[in-house]
Amino acid sequence: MSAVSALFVSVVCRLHDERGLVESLLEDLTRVLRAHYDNWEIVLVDDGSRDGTTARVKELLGRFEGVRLLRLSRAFGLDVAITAGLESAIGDVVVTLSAESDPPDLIPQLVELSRRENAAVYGVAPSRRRGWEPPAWPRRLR
Amino acid sequence: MADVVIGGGFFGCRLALALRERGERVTVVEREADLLLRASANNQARVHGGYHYPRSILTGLRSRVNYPRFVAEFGSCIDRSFRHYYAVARRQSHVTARQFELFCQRIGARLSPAPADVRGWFDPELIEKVYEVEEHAFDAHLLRAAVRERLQEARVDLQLATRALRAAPGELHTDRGVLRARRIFNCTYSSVNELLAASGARCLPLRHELTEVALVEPPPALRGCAVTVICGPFFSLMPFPAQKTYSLTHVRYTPHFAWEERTAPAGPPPPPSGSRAAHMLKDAQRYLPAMSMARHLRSIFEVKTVLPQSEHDDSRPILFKPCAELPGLVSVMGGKIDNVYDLPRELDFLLPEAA
Repeated sequence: MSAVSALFVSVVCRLHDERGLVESLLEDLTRVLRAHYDNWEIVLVDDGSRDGTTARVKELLGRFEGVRLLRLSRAFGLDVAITAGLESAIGDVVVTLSAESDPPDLIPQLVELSRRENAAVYGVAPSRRRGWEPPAWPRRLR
Repeated sequence: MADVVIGGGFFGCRLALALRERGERVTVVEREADLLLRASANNQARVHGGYHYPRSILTGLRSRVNYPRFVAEFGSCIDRSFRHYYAVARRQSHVTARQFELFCQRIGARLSPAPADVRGWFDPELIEKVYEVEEHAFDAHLLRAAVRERLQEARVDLQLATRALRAAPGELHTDRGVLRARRIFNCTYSSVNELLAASGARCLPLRHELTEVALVEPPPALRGCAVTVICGPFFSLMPFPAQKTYSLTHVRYTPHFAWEERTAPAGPPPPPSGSRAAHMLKDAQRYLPAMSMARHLRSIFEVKTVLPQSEHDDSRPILFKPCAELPGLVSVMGGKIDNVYDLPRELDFLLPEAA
């Protein structure tokens, strides 16, 4: 799993008023993608944010490589934002994730499973009732 | 006393010929071991027919006017053996198909709808309309040979492998000695500001990009064809005659990084972190699925320089800037190869004054 793969991986992430967490999101994504893949891209879809998310991402574009920003003309909601990202992504595999609560470290596992089973893969958080310990997520609480 | 042209790229050499035609004695000083080795060779090799600039009608029109002149002068260096298709993207394009048609009509550029089999190459969801156009590529090797021959015929003095260090009134200091010079033309493209700064003159605002041209083997179906998708973050696949292969460039991925010079030269850029050919190929496949069969061979990297305002309107005016601090020193830069025919009118303006 740790070997660098020739697979091209796209990560699509919707941003809606996420000014405060976009930097740590990019740091985590970049760390994981760089360690596992030769070719990758991060597609951030700004879904009508009004808290300065766009300006923050533009600042960060100078620091992070492989990041693209798509801006929707207004807030359309999660489905449209993700669809816009999927439509524009160029990878062999596309991972969509929630900026707030999905752990980027699971990306290689998701990709590996998707390739092995030739299927769409989705992740489910274990239920609290079965004695689940909360991880370092969600990002807002860190 | 001779005129000295610094920079043996296409612009410098053609300027030397233009000066010679006016009866001046000319010396060309070139840092590399041969002419036309840097930006003149390391680019898309497109001989612009105007189609590429629907957002700058002046640049489109100048290309249209200069195109036949370039063909007349360097026709033997042009590869006309392929059909060229321009495809207008449906989304994220700065122009629609209708606007592109009107633009071409205005500048007098020939345009015809592509045949049905060619239209079938493209994803109709992403491409609005496809046209066949008249636009060719030049062979940088043949162009180098032709320019060399013209310079010899015109008895222009060539000093290769000579680095210009600084200009002073009436002379140019090089690493091989001092040249007496009536006028000095600074045709060093991305290094224009290095010479200006070394000569104690004020720098010009310039924008540079480190660019990657991917050389690829096209899929069999696309052999003998060129495809340019306009007008926005799209790509172009064209024959690259000098290396008997094809070039793939992408508006989003070809520039690796950019920097601007305002008051001081920025120095040489760091090396690129790696090739982005995979990105270019992957995105091209979305519009032109056959590109999944294309194979990346190698890439060429070069610094591309434009004037800062060109970033916004995609225009390519030439720079022709006499230096305020050092009379007789003129900085000259062209954004594309056929722009060279905009030079004589500037010389007409300059030379009576200098004489």
